[in-house]
Amino acid sequence: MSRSSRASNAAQALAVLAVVTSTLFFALPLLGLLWRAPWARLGAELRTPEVRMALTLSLQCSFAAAALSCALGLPLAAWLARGAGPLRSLVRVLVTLPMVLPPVVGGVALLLAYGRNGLVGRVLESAFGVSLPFTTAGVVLAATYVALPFFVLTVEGGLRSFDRRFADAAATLGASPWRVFRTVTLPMIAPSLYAGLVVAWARALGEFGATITFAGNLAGATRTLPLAVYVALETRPDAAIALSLVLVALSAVLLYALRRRWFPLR
Amino acid sequence: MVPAALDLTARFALRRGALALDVALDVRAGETVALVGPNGAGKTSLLMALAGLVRPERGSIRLGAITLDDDATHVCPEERGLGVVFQQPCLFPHLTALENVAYGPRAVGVQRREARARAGTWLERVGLHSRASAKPAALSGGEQQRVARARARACEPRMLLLDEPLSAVDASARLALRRELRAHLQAFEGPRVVVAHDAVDAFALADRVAVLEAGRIVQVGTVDEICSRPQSRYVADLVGLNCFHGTARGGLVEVNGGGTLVSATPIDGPVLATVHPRAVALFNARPSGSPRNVWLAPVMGVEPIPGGLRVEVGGALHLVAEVTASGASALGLASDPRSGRSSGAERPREVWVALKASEIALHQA
Repeated sequence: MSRSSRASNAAQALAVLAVVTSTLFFALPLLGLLWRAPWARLGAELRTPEVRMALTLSLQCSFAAAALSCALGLPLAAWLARGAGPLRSLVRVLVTLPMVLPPVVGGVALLLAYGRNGLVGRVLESAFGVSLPFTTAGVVLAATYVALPFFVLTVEGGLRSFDRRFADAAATLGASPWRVFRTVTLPMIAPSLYAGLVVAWARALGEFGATITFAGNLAGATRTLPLAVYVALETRPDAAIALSLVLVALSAVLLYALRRRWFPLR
Repeated sequence: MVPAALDLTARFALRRGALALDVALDVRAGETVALVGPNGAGKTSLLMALAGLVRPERGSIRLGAITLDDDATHVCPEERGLGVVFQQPCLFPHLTALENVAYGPRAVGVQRREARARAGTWLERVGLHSRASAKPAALSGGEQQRVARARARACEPRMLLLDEPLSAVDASARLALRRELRAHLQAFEGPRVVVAHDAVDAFALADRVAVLEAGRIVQVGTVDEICSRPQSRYVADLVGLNCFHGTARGGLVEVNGGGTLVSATPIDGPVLATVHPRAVALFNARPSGSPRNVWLAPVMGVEPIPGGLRVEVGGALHLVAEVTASGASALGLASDPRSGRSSGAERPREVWVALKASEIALHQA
């Protein structure tokens, strides 16, 4: 057999493997969901108060978490992108931790830090009367905890590939470092910023483990869509499927938003 | 308000990676100095230090009586009030040409309307008023370069710094742009420093040329001075001269790397010997006249130039000779100028090289 035909056989085998894997793992579960969906009663299922509450809460909390990730993550990413060194490495490890840590463990850790008897939570409660666990604010905190790393790493990547000469040019034109960042750097890294926001929002929307551990599962206050799916699956599977479809639809929106970054067709 | 024209006085040293830059450079107001030198010699680093983007480790940079850098002072780039044109024009891609030019005035607090009006005037001066609302990606290399120049000037700078301003421009637009750039520079009253990659650019734009090699300025002079007395191999190559380092004793030069030359210049010690390519005579047979330097050398290459040929000969002394078209045909080297290839089937493989002692200039090295 010639070298080129062996190479083309290998390419064919690889293509078959890729199609089989993506079908078994990704397409079939999705088809299962669509197949079992109570299409006739879908409207009614989605109009129940629980669903509407969970949907509203999820949207509010995920957007709040994305906004918070941006506010906290931008300075963090800017500092991380400015150089190297032991302190930066340490901070980067800390930032990356929630990405690899099981979210439930993250929730336990948040509880031990910001819970009523936690390291900081105790002070918050006694000094300001603020209590985070089992509140909507707690949901936002848990979601931000898991979403922030995605934002920071995406934006840091964008800042690192930003050509410093543009910033130098702006500086020689009389712009202060803050003005340079605001009027040149940020607009030029806008695609990374946007991608970071979308990914952070998606991660916040799907958050389950840290939320249920730290914020609990209170209808109307902390029961987000993923939690509602989990609760409904035990008692009303149709409602669970309907809620899952809502999340699938939101994911589709997300994929559309990221189409340029993840699916370059050329 | 027209800023007072101030002279630049720079004496400083800095290290950047493998480069150790240690320079003294004076540029008078209204004068253009071109920095030339091989890659990695420190031309851009020098310019970046003048711009305040790199701080010197020792020494000072002054404009008139204003200290920009010394041991105690470092005026940051945004407060130096200089106009810098980078090698890549570095126009902000998200802003239109007009907004790019208005960026500087806006940054120093000029009101939006006034800044845009000023930017419009500058775009008009570089002939790009009709492209005011175009984004940089829609502009040609030459147009981007002009916008970058307008942008640098719109801040009313005290000094102009340009890093290889013609490198991003294609060859066809180069000539016109070089002429335009020269006029642009001459209309500016402060000191002008231009990094040039190309000798032609340097000689066309500058009043004086500073040659930088391995972080040091090895020669500064007017274009004529540099051309008639190049002090290093690099400069000689730049201006097209043959150039040999060696040791002279009583008119006899032992060239480093082999070979000897007889010169009429009475200098002893380490020297740089230069020979103009037109002073190198080539013959088919051993010449009988008076030349003191005669040897047989292999022909390495032949290249047509206007009115004749450039012939490269090898051997102990590698030389370039320029011969006229009639001289070339007498040698059997006549070439078809269109193809650049030798037309005769039996191009001579060896020629006699003759150099008059009076044509070999020696410079103390």
